Amino acid sequence: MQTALLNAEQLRYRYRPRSPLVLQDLDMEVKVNSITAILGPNGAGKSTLLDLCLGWKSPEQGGLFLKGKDISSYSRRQMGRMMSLVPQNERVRFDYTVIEYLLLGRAPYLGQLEMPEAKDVEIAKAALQQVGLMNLQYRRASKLSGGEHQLLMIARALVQQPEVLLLDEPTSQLDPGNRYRIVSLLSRLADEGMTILLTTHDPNLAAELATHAVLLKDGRVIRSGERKEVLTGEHLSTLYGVRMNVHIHGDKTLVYT
Amino acid sequence: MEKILLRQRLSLYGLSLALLCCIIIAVLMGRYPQPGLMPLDQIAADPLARSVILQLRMPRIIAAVLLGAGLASAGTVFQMIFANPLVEPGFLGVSQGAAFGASLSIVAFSSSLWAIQLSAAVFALTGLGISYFIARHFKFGGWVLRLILAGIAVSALFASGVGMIKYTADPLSELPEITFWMLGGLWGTGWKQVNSILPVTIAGMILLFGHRWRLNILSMDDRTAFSLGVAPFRERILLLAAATAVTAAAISISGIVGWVGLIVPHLSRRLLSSDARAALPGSILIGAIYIVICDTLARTLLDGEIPLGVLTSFLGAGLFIILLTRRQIKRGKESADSLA
Repeated sequence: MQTALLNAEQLRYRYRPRSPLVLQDLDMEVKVNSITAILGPNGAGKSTLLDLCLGWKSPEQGGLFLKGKDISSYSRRQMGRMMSLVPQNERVRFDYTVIEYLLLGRAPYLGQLEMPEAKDVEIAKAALQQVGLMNLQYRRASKLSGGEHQLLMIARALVQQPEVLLLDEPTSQLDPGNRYRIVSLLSRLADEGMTILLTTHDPNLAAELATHAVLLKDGRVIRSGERKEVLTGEHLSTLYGVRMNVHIHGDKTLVYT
Repeated sequence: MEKILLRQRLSLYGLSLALLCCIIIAVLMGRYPQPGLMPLDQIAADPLARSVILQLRMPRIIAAVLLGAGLASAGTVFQMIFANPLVEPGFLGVSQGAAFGASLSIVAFSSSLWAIQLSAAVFALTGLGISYFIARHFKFGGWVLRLILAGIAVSALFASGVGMIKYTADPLSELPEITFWMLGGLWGTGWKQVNSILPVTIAGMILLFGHRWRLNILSMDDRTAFSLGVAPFRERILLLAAATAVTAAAISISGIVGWVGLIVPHLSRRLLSSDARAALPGSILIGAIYIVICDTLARTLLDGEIPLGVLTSFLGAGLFIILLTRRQIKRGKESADSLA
């Protein structure tokens, strides 16, 4: 039986005092070496939950535990070594080369006045190899296509050598070809031992990729557990408020309205 | 990677050499004993020539190096931290705040160098702080737009304050001093002035230089920088305060010298790399070269002295227009939307 790497217990969050609750009494478990998809309609609180897992936002009540320890007890650098984020709309602000940009992922391992060395460059190159962009290492990071950009973001997260990879809507703006590349990469990473937690509003992504799913609606978990038990027509219909059908053919699952 | 690093390193050595050449030419250039370069044998033979070099030209050139390096490094830090290549200390109320502080000190407290410097530094930091505070409370626009708008408003407020001080200043003693501030220049700079800014500018620049790789991370989105194990708010405040202190110290002896903090970081990124590991030292060297050249022109071009701020703005604005209209030249090109 898999053990939990990350736990949320009775989480409550609101943006400002007296504003409506965004997340309420939320329990969640992310098991070691699982791919857990947080699934829900727009505005359900998926990204907020990811921010809480990262420690970027603090819960009003309840706690988040990484390897059994409250995440607030870890230093920033420790967190940066254990958990990395692939944000949804990250822009490369200056005209870095791909390799220069990837090296920024080494920040949790370097002091404020330290700079990357040859071994950090090797780690960055290995991550580039992993995502299949080795031929682009000297290209301008701001000139990459949408799919390459997303692969670059994942590579930068891998340079952090984390135990948990957090991804915010990883395929939301990609064409089917690039979507396939990202899905294959994430599956491969999970096979190699990575624990992955991602948000998505696309049930087909969860069906294709996840081992576990958490259904989030109006800040509450309405169902969570192994994907096959959670992603049913009945549960998804409740989640999205429209009739959803789940068609299983062999090892493929198709969700449609 | 190794090739790129080698190219960057060679470029930095080249710039260092260029700075050294500029300094040597600036030392020899002037209007004594006649306009143009001083013959080398005269330095050995003529005690007055030695005195002109050691007591007049050298401190002024060192001040020019500190001013250029300080403004350009502060500009790089501002542009990276605000993730916008259009930002420089002058845009965020820092320069006008310093001018207000200096004018206030001249009129209300004391015209001594230390009082002017302290007052300029305090109001420069205040300008930055108020711009930041107002930007947080704007109800529209992205963060950078809000910050620039707030900076424009705060600069205008300080400018009107300076206007009011000028209106009440003694036209014979205080007004010329304030006017000097507005135009910018290094005339009358001696070893005393150089020594007074040396500790702050050098300490500030060492701090910024030490954090040069870190600047890349601080230019990222808050949440991303946080996920990389950084405390973005605290580190940004530290570096902005250092950059503001360097700016305030440098312009406390020169007055407002515009455009250096804006244009030089652009040139450095074009020439070297957007990675601040190379861009920041590049800015320091190019900024020093730029001001040494401008100041030498300012004191030698005409019989009388041309205000340095006038020259740097004229050349800087010209360069800026060329850079913006020829964006495709060379490989360093900020994404167009980063200017939006």
